[in-house]
Amino acid sequence: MKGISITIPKLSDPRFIFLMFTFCFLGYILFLPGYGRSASEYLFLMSLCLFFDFFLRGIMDGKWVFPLSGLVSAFGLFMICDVSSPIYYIPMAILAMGSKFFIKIKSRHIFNPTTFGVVFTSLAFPSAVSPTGLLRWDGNLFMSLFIFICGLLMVIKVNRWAVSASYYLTAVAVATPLSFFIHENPYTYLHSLMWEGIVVYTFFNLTDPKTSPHKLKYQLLYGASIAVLTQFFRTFDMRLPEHKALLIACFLYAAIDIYIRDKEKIEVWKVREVSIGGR
Amino acid sequence: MNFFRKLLSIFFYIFLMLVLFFNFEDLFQKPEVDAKAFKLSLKEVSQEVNVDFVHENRLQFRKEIDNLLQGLKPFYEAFSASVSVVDINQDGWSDFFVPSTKRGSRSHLYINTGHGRFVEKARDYALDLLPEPVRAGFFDCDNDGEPEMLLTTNHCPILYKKDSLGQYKKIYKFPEPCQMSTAFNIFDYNRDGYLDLSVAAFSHIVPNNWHNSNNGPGGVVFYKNEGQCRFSRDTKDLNERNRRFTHAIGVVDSRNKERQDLWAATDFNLDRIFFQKDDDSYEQADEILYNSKAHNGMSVEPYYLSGDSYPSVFISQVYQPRYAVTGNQLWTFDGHKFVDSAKEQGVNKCGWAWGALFEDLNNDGRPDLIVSNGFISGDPQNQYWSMMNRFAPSSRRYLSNSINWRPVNNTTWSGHERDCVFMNTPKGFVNVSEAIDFDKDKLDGRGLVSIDLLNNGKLSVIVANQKQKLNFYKNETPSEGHWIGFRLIGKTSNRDGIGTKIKLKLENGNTLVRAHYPFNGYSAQKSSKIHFGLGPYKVAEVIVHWTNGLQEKYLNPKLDAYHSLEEGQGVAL
Repeated sequence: MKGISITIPKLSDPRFIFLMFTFCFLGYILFLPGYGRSASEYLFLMSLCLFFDFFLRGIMDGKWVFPLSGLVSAFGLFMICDVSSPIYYIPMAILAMGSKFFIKIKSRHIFNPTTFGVVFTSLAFPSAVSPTGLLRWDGNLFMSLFIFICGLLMVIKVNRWAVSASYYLTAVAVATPLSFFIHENPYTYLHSLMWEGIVVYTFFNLTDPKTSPHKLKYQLLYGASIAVLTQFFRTFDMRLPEHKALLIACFLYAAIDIYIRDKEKIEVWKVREVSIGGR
Repeated sequence: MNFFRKLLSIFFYIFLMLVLFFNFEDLFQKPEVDAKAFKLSLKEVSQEVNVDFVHENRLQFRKEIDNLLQGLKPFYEAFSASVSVVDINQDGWSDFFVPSTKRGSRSHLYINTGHGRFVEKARDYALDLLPEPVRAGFFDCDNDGEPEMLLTTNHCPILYKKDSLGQYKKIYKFPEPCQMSTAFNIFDYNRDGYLDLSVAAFSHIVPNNWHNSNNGPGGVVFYKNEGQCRFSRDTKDLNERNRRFTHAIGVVDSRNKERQDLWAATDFNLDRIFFQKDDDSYEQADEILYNSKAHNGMSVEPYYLSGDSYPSVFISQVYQPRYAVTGNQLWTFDGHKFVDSAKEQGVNKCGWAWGALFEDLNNDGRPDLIVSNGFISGDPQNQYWSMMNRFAPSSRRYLSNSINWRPVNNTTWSGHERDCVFMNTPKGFVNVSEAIDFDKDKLDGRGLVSIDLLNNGKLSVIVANQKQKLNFYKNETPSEGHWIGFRLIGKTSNRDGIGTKIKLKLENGNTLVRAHYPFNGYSAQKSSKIHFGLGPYKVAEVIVHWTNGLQEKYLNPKLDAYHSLEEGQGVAL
């Protein structure tokens, strides 16, 4: 009898850093009265993401891989979206994990699954899904600092520090003069940049190694373009400016990559195979 | 396998296309409501009944900051339209009082002539020019049969008493610290026969967090009535350390334990619950709402679905597609825990909901729910919700400074919303407000009460709108059944009978229950007449639970009439 071979990422996989941070933070927010979400809701969403990640990869790629991406995406979706009923986690998980297996260019997924799930679910169900769940963050500067340190460790590990740095610097460079034109307190956006939700976004969503550039110069351009797009969307008071900017940047980068072939040199993390069943 | 992969891909793309181009929510929309099927008619008749009142509010801050806060004034000035029903001349007809908050503007007192019209008499009672009034509560604090008035203002609450000329004179100003408040409830928490006060504030400050703020004006404070309207701060009963923004305080025996639990509708945080213990002191029990998603409680309105069940507590909340998707809550104790059934009952969506009122509008035996809504109505093209994107995600420190907020000016912030009328049908609640053209001007409703204009059991509805005209909706619904009403007169219990529970046993075996807490809801005082719609059934017996523990029974009361129930006159149980 033939057994099933499951691929498990090695501990050197940087997503484990993210997961470590995830579980610390999950504990924090579940006990934060303002967050308004329960552990059972998280378990439900996590199960959905794990299920879709594991089986879609098994079916589409013919590989049975431990669904680490599903775990990571579940956390992102859980943090960002308020839902009026957990039933909406189902389309959210389908869209997020499906984008990974069905929307590809040159056999690589082009969108960050969390971002894709958040944007499209909130477009589809405006009365039931709200990304203002973001506002449930505590607004605690010490927590921002903690996330900043964890994020910094991760972007150094995955070699994407230039994306975050470029995003921050461009955001400041664009937002400060822009604030005079749109009659906004110039400190407003600087404060937003220090807010926990944006720190998570800058270090964890932007720097997804699978969807962000590899070479330093492209990373700088990528981070800067997202910052400019975000400012553009903010100026017009659009919802989810950061996530919409990221989706557009991911798409543009994937399209341009056909010519620049930056992704061909993308890093692959070590994995090990474990056999289950069989003789 | 390849075929299966292709099939899965096709399914995903179809799903994505549907998500992008098809409105899924249409699938879940309830079908159009046929207003005729409900025979409900609430007609706006303020002119016909001679009511002409526009609420005004204009705040003036200290000179040095007034200019800086100019842009946020629409926000600060958005919380003070209230209405109180009181039989001020004790002629058996319900009158009502509406304060106007702007300094120098005139509040109105409408006296019911008994012929379907009102006359404005605020000046006769010296109630026309009051110091920035927010909400009035008429109650008998010395049990002499004449109502005194508690007035919350933009500053400290004030107690007024009628003098020998029938004019209200200030007798007591509550001491500092105190701030703008719509949240008070008047009930006899220690059951000593004198009505006590519980007060909390909302104030004129901005929160430092959207869901977990801790910079509000404070907690719930008790003032114990020592008799003869002398109030002293009672700190031992409710030792609340948290600083919260409170819009309303509701009193309800939420666990059917003959206790008077407190529910505090709390903005920018969890609503708070205080269970009354056997020694009449309180313990905080918010943890039962710990995973509640809605953190913007506006009012607390309890009702009994039937006599055997626990009361349900309706908490109005903000519902705004794309931004706040949870909406109102309807909490009911199931013997072990509180369960929210607002969504299942169909009452969770009603915009930015404020006042709430359960009354049987068509006398079919099922209390209906009316909810006022709308926060700030400005230019509909200029939505403040989307402008919040720029400053809302910020640290506590930044957010707590109102100068950092974007100016509200002439924007719309959940404005132009139609108040809701949820008819209680055997299949649940159905919102018929559009079908019956209720609140067609979509004003910014706050305090909300019912009033029996002609003492004929048809309850009309008054909605106080913030900085807008008051709406009076006359109930012209053909009656679907009998009704009965009661007015309570306490003897050893408080004279107003506040806190008394009335149970009606109908001939078909059903039981209807109401507890008399007229200060529940948002910024309103309900009538002292307690109304029951009965449907086709007669009342077999009336059981009255007075607050001092006395239970009395009355048999076969006359239907379609109001009755005065005096403590000690019934058959003791």
